[in-house]
Amino acid sequence: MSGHEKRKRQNKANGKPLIEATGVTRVLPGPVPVTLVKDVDLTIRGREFVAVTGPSGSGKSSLLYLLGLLDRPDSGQIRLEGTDTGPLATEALSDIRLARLGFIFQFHFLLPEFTVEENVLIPMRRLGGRPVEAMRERATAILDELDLADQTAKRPHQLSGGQMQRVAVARALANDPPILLADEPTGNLDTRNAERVAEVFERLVRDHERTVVMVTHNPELAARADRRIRIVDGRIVEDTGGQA
Amino acid sequence: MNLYLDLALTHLKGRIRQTVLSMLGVATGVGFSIAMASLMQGSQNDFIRRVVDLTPHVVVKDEYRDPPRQPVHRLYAGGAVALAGVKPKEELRGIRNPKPRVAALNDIPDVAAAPILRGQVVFRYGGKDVAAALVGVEPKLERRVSAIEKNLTHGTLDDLYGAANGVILGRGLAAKLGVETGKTLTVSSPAGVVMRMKVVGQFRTGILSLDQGEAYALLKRVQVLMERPNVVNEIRLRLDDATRASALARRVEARLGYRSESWDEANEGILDVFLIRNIIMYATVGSILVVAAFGIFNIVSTIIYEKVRDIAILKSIGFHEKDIRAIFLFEGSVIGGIGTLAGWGFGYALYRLLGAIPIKVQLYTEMDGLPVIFSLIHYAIAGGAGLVAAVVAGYLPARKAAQLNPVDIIRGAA
Repeated sequence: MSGHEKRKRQNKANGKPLIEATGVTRVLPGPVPVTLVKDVDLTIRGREFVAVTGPSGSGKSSLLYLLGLLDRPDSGQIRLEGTDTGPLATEALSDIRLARLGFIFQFHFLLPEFTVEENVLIPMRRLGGRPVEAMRERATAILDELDLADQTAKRPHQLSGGQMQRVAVARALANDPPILLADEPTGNLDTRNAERVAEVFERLVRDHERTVVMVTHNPELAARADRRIRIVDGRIVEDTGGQA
Repeated sequence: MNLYLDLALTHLKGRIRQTVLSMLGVATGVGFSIAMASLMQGSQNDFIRRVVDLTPHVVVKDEYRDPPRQPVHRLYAGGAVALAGVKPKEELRGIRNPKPRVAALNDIPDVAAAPILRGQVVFRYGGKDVAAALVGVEPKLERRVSAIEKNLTHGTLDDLYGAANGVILGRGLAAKLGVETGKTLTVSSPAGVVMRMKVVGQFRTGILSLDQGEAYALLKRVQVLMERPNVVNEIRLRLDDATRASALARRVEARLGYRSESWDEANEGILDVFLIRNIIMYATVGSILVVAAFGIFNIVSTIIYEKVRDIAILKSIGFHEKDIRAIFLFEGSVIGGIGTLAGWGFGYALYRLLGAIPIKVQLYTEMDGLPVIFSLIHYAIAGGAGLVAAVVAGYLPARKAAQLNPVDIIRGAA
């Protein structure tokens, strides 16, 4: 049994905390410091589909970047799968992002010169440890799962917006991370494509036992999540499933 | 393919025109560097080869490195009294009774020695007077220490024995006088002796100062002409290994007391000129490479500016700073590497082209074409400099790219 399989089973068995934020505060320095996130306590467990909502500038994305180790808090602690990430070096945080986290942004950020398959292969190639053929097989399987099997040789500009965003999801899934972090993933999509992306997230949680934390303005999309967290002025003002 | 190289090549392919221009910049710098170096080194080597081949490796002169102290100063060294009007002791210059000294020097392994008496004379022929140096030699010994015999265009060194007063002229000197081999001319010495001498040969060394200003005769004849019997003013030495000349010169000077000059000491001024010339050459070529490096800096910076989103996503995926640095460093290195390869080809083509140009040069030496040489060291130096310039030019923007904060870029893009 692979490490990933073992982890999946463990998560399924106990749904134990994957991300734990304790007293997290992030202030943007400057002539007039801006508090982005203030004193947030939050626990994300395995197999949760979490929607983070709130008005523009409330600190939703900032919280997501902190949970995804793209940014560091000024105070407080973030534990990922039990490990305190505060003392870790930048390289160690990058390694965690590479293997344990998958990011999806509002803009797809696909590399335009590479094909769909090559884009999905990039995280796998960076992680290494597998023969190229095995990587290709996995990329094909993920793209097939996301109804992109016939698009593998195309370049991003040849795809629709929805397809590009699904390729971004495929890339986020490349190294089989237990946690997906999505920042306004349907912000640039029409209703139909937004619906498809939402279905993909639901399927990932339901069938593939992953955890999805999604920042969204879209109330319909948020309503499909198992748990909804509302942020105002950097503070959590509502959490439908808080267990911290 | 390596992931970083793959990403780097993809970026470069996306800006193929600027990439090729940058490569051409490096190629030009490297190519000209090689061509200039082959020309500079070639002319330097050519000069040294001629000097080493044609002139003695060590010359023992009839003078002392430090002038001898006057007897009064030796006698009252450190005296508190100043002596005014002391007349210095007159000393006749010249190495007297040279035979035993020459024989002793010839006993040193791998060393050949020959005495000469050199003096300024005036050659007169057909109403023309030309001043030149007349060198009295012993042909049997002289042919062992200089290449004069190889450079004879008419006659042989032994012809000096055949004629009563034979003389061998440099071709330039003969041309100035308008004299031909077999003709007789008049030679006047500063001692007032006038002698009629028969031209028994001519030589051409390629060194203008020798060809236009030197002639050879038997040592004994020149001693008579100069009124200096049994005196020579130089003992010339030739070594099997010319690089040992300086060491031998020091030994001989310590042994005989006379100033002994090796070929490199004698030509020190010219060798210094070569050094300065090389510094100027490398500074010029270095500036070409700096310009090429700016081209690389420019293209890598432009790519980084265009690819900030890619950098952000790669860092969010989990690429390290050093990974990002490696990608852009690869870009500089690829431009530098391909530019260097092209520069090697360009440099080789220039080297062949320069070598093929028929050109008459009369500078220190006489040449029929540009004296270029092929040396792998030139290719290594030029290639190394090109690559270093490219890597530095790639590293500076690469370091900046690696330090980009993905959150700032993603926020800006959203």
